[in-house]
Parts: sequence; C-alpha cells; structure tokens
Amino acid sequence: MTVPVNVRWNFTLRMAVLGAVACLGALPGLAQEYYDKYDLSPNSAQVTLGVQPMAYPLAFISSTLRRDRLLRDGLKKQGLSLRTFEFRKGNDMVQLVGGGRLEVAFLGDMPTVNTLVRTPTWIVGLAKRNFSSIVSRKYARIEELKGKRIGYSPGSSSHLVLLRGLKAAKIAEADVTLVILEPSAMPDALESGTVDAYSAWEPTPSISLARNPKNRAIYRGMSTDWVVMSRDFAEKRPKAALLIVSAFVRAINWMRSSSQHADQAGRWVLADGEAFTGVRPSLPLAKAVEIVRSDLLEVPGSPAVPSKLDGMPPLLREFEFLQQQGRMPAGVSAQKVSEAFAYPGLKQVQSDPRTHRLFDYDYDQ
Amino acid sequence: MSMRAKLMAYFGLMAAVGATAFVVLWLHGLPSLGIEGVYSHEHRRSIQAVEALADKERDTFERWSGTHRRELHLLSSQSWFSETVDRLRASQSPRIQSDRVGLARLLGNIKAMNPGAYQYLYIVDPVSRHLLASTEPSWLAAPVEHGDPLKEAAEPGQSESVIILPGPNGPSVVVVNQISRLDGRGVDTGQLVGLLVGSLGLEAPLQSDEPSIRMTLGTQGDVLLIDHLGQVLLRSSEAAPPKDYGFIGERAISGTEGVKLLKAPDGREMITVFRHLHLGASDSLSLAVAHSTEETLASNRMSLIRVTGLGSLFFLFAMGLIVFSAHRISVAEGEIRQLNASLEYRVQERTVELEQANEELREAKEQAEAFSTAKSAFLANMSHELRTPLNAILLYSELIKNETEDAGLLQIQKDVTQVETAGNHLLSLINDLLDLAKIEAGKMTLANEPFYIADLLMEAIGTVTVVAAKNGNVLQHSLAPELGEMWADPTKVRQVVLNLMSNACKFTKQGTIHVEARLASLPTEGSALAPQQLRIAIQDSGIGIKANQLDQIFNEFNQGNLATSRRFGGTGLGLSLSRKFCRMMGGDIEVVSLPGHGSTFTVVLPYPVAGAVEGQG
Repeated sequence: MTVPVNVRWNFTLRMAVLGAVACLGALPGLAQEYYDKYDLSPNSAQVTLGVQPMAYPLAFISSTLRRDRLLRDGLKKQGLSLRTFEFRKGNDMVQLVGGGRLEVAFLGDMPTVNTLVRTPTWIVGLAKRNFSSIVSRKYARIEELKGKRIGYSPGSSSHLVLLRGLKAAKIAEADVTLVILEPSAMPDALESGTVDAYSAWEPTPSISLARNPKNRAIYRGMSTDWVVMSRDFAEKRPKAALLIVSAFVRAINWMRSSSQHADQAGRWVLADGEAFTGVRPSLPLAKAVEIVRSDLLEVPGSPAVPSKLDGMPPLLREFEFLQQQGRMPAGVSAQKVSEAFAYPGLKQVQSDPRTHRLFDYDYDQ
Repeated sequence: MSMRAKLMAYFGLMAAVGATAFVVLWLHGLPSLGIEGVYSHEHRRSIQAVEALADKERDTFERWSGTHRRELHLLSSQSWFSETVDRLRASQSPRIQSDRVGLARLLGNIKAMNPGAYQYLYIVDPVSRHLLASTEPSWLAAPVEHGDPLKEAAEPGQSESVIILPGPNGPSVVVVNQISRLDGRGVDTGQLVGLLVGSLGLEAPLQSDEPSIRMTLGTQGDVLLIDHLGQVLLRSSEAAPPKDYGFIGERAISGTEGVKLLKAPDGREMITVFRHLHLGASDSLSLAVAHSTEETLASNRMSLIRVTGLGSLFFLFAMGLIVFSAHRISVAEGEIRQLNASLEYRVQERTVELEQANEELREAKEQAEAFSTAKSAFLANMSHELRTPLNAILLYSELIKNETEDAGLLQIQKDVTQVETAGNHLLSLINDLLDLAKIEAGKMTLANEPFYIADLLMEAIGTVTVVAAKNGNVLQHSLAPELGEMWADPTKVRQVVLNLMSNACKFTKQGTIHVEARLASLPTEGSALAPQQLRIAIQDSGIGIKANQLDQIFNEFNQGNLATSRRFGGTGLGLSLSRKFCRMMGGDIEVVSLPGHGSTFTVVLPYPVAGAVEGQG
C-alpha cells in the first residue's frame, strides 16, 4: 500500500512536534533551566515573590502588587526591598518556597498542597475559585478520551482536575496517553492534532475556545489558587508579612473599586506576560479582565478563606484525592494542610482597613 | 430455477443488502474510519444543544443572582443605611421605632419590587443575633439554623457571603452582606454594625425560562439545581411530568462541569450536562440539564422514517426495474434459445448435405483415382505392347535401309527412311507416354550418379546442333567455368535439356538459341556455406508465349493453343515431363516469355546434389 506523501509528511511533522514538545516539558533539567538563573539565594534584605504571569487571575494580583508604592515604601522603611520572579507554572516553585528563597508564592491548588506538605507555609488568602478545563475538539465527553492523547502540566491544578475527571469517567491513567506540555504550547498542540485534548488553567482554555469555535471545554473542575507565605518569613518579619497581606487585599480592592482599575491591571498583566515569554498573550484584554472579574473579583468574600469549600475544609478534598492517588509523600497527614490556614494575617489586616490602608491606592503608572 | 427467478433473487438480494448497508451506515457510520453516523451526529448535536441550554441557564441564573447580590451590596455599603443600622443596633436613637419601621418597609419594598426574587430579607445584629428589621413580621431573631453561617459571615474581611441555608420553604441561596461603619470618606472602618441577609428564591430564574427549556428539552427533560450534597433542590417546572431525578443528583460532583450519559431508574438514557453555578467562595450549586436520549433522537426517528420510506420507494422502484429487466431478459433469452434451436437445425441440415456431398466427392475421387490408375496401367501396358512391335519395326527398317542402300534401291531406301523416322517419332511419343504413366503411377525412380554437367550440356548442344541448323538458327552457349561434378539422374537431366533445346529450335526460325549454365548462391541466414543451385537457361528468339498461356504450357498435352500444336507438331508432353523430372530432383523450370521476341526456359536444380525428392511423382 502506498502512503500519500502529504500524509507521511503530516505524520512525521506531528511526531516531530510531539517529540519536541514532550522533550521540552518532560526533561526536568530543561524545565528548570529558566529559573535556575534566578538569584534565589537567601537574602535577608529582600522579599521575594514567585509569580505566574501566565496564570489568570493570579497574574492580576501579582502585577498589581509589584507596582504598589505603598508596599514598597513600607518594606523600605523596614530595610527591605521587593523582588519578583516569574515562573511558568506553580509546580516549579514548590521546592523554592521557604528557606529564604521565595517568601511569597502565587500557586494553584495542587502546587499549594505539595508546598504545604513539604515546607512550613501559611495560606495568606484565596486568589481564585474557578475552573481548570479539559479542552477538546473532536470529543464531547471525557469518557470518549479513552485511548487518546491528552496534554497536561504535571503537578499543576489542571493536572489535579484531569485526574479527577478521568476518575469520574472511570478511566485509568494507563488508559490514556499523557503528553507533558507547557501551557503556552497546548493550544497549538490541539490545533495541530498533536494531542486530542489538554487540561489547563486560564487563560489557556479561553485562548483555544476563542481561536476555534469547534474547541470545547468538555470537562471543567473547580480549582482554587492561593497566595502562600513562608512561615519562616512571617515569623521573622511579621510586619513585612502584614505589608504583603495588605498589598494583596489592596490589589483586589483596587480592581474591584473600578472597571478602569481592572482594565489597567489587565494591561500590566499582558505587558508582564510579554516580557516574560517574549510573546504578546493572544487573549484580548477584555477577555482577560472578564476572567479576573468572574474568578476573583465577583467571588463573594475573597480573598477571605471560608471555613469550608463545598462542605469540606479548603484543600482537604484535594489532599485526600492526591493521597488516594499515591501522590503525597508517605506519612503526611491532612493536619499539615489544615494547620496552614491558621495564619491570622488576613483577618488582622481586614479588621483594621485604615491602619493597613486597604482602601488607599498608589500604584506605578 | 428460471433465469428470471435467478435474476430477481440475485438483484433483489443485492438491493436488499445494499439498502440495509446504506441505512446501517447512515445511522451508525464507520467509527473506526472516523465516519460519523446520523445517530452519533445527532447525539453530538443534541449534546451541544443541551450544553447551550445549560450555558444559557447558568448565565440567566448568574445574571439574576448577580443583580440581587449587587442590589444588597449597594444597600449595605450606603452610609445612611450603615448609620441607621448602627443607630438601631445601639438603641440610642429616639427614632428607634421609626428607624425599625423604615428599614422594614425598605426591605419589604425591595422584596415587592422583585417578585419571586427574595423569599425574605432581614438585618441582624452580628453579636446578639436579634433582628433589627425584617420582611417577616413574626420573626424576632434569625432562624436557628442561620447561627453558625452568620457567625462566619461576620468574620473580618467576609464583606459578602453567599451560602445555601435551609429555610422554611426549603433550601435557599442566602446572601449575607456585612454592614460596616464607614468613615467620613465612606471608607470601611472595619467595624461591623450589622448583617444584611437576603434569601433568594431559586425558582424565579428557571421558571422565567421555562418555555425555552421545554422547547429544547421536550417533555422528558428538565433543569435541576443540585447542592454540593447531591440533593436536587429544584426543578425547572412542577408542571413537567413527575420523574425521579435523584439519580442525576447522585452523579453531580460539586464544582465540576461536563456531560454524562446517565441511566434513569426506568432504563432511559439521559444526556445530562452539568454546570457549576457561582455562588460564593464556600458553597456551590450544580445546574443539571437533562434530556432524554430517546427524545433527542425522536426527530431523527422522523428522518429515519422519511429515509426508510424513500429507501423503500427506491427499493420498490429498483425491484420493479429488476422485474422488468428480468422479464425483458427472459423474453430475449427465449428468442435467443429459439434462434439457437433453429440455427442448430439448419447447421445439422447443412452438415448432412455437406456429408452427402463429401461422400459423393469421395466416391467420385475414388472412381477418378481408380480410373486414373487403370488409365496409367493401361497406358503402361499399351506403351509396352506398342514399343515392342515398334522396336521390331525400327530394327527391320534399319536392316532394310542398309540392305537397300547396299543394293542401290534408293527409292525404297527413302521410303524405309520415312518409316524409320515415323517409327522413331512414334517411339518418342510412346516413351513420353510411358514416362508420364510411370510418374502418375508413382513408379518413376531416379537413377542418380555423379557426372559432369558441362559434359552433359555440351553433348546435348551437339545433339541439337543439326536441328537448330534446320531452321537456320544459330546455337550459342556459355557455360560457367566453375561447373563441375554433380549428383543427379543424368538421363533425366539430359532429357529435360534436350527437350527444352529442341523446343527452342522448333519454335525459332532464323534466330538465335543461347544456352547458358551457371551456379547461383541461395540467400541464407547465418550459414557460412550457402547452398547453390544450377541454373541452365535456354533462351530463344522465337515466337514467344502469351502471358495467359504460360500457366498452361506445363500441363500434359498442352502446347499453348491448337494452332501451335498443328503448326509445330509434338505431343504436348515434353514440358510437363520436364517439369516433373526437375521437381523430382528438387528443382523446377522457370519461364519468361514475350510473344514475338522469344522465351527463356531456365532449369533450376540443386547443386551439386540433386534428386533429394526422388520418387515424387
């Protein structure tokens, strides 16, 4: 049988792209290279923030927070400076939180749980409550993904959603081909047919949905993003820690106070994303702002942490699920997770808005 | 089984199989090849339609809840409202009763202006839990089951909480807004003075969209609100047929969206689309839109009926065509069969006639052969019987001629000479006849032996020189020097050559007879030693032969025409015998002639060995 040249070339090209993409994501050495260059050596005169410019709405908070003059001035009075380091995904920060390297990190739920069980960490507040999505074009139900190739980012909140989705569809991980992909590569991989579906957090699903009307979010699982803080930092620099918490709440209040502020934050996010990746994010500003509005600003009470999420203490469901999946270190109990919510910083600043200047705004323009 | 029945059965079966395959392919496609059948396609479209409805319902719900959340938030963030609540709570105001009534009236107005939106509204002291104002006159305090949620809603930072709480009319979405003391700029001081609680009735958004829901979901589908415990809180319409939708609630996983094909207790498959409803940070609702797969495909059933109907018509038409074609073929087949039968009869008739004719021919041939054999035998016998007395006549004529010559009886000698001449002529004639008879009887043989052809030719030339001179002819010859010894029957070669030379002398007067003999190589392929042939050409300048007579001169007893025969005499056997002799020796005689200009007879013999076909007649 003769295979047409274009089919052979198409197949070869796809395999090459798949291989290249898989290598990019799969090799820890390559994945680590970009942040190994960061100067993350312990420095008592710096407060270091680990942020994700390509995760919405986390990026809205971090892009606003890093431009907060009140925060910088407050830290300066304490002899500290603020430094921000960008990461492609939260999982890359798990090993870096604490020990004087990253004082504060903006993480999805799975990296947060992984951080909590490995490093003494406080939960500062809730930074997102919305979906990670499994996006496909050909298939309408997750059950149809059996035997198919699914792109994912290991250790991410979307990975967690993928695992939960597969379990709900009674599909074992061995029944699908998991392809490690950087979130930014997922829309192209879906368009080219390199993968049949992928699981990702915002804005990646929105990019795919906007790009091709045939693309659909066939499964969406609620996920949460969190701002976490090194306990070591909070204990050694409690005032600086409160300044960070205040700036975190202030950023949300500022964006909530006016749609123009949300738009301004969106422009900062797109600029920071372009500076980090070298590519202008393809999502329009309006769509990005819509994400922050629905996923953060309109979530009642955020960033306050509710005592229960859907009837269970926050992150306990995720912890138990990961433990059932054998993805938690042996001997770790759920108590480590629940203890992380004991940090009083958020309530402290919110109970005294004037002192902590939660409604005073002064940002770089 | 007749051909017609076979054709109908064959094509009927083919048409039935084809139609069945078409319908099956149309319905189910070929999933392994990525070809989608109509069921799958419509199923997918139905899923998309249900998804679209679910998205629309979610938007409706969120728009509705957002509107009322903003309404309550706006109220709770007003300075006058905060101050009024603060006063009322502190109970220091002389206007306490009017404030209480005013707030109650305000809440009542809000409820009245939004029919179906709020089940109840109240303002509660965050510490004492006493109601400061309420739309429910009988309520003095917040419901007991609101205790813990209100406590949490009063925590710093929880400016707004959206929670699901049980109520007198069942679970409802309760929005709690903190009422804080504001500073002069209207900025939150963080000091909580009260909680504004509003219970949203869930029915309103769904019922407002009921016609659209029914249009999409038919009679068996429904829209359900499910809490995080899987309890079905609400259905879109109580008017819909009562169904047990508990199985959908059980499969709802809080905080997830997707499509599931669920089996109802009665066995029906339901396309169920789950959507998450944004409420608050702590609680969530699932919106489930269920549509019966059977009902989904009901429209397809009509398509299927139409396609099946059209297919059946096509099938009947095809069968009609097949029957008609089979009939026509059958008629044609009968005609062909009749024609074949007629043809066979005619062939048999003609065969019999041919056989009869052949038999007659065979008999005639046998008779002719028998006659020919008898004739040959007769000729041989008669020739022998004639030659014996003729030899005696010649012998005695010779004796008498010698004796009369000695006696000087010249007149008698002359007469005897004529007798001898006539006898010799007669002997020659008899010899020819004898040879011809031998040949035809297959008894002529070759007496091959080696001889020099040049000698033989010179001897023959010498013999005919006198005859040539009689007609004033000049006899010339040119013999090629390479002529050598050959193997053949010299008697017959001599007889042939003499016959041709005599003819040339006979039919030429005052002319030239030229005898030429040479060897010629025959063209061959791949042979180093090419075979050769002897070519003896006797050319005269005599009367020539007409073209239409050339084919006849080698027949027995033929001299071209009767006039020639009478004028020049002869038996007409010479050329025939000469050709037969040559052919016996593997050669032939060629002739070219032009009337009035002469003829050339060429004897062709294999060289140096002739007579390969010895014995042929």
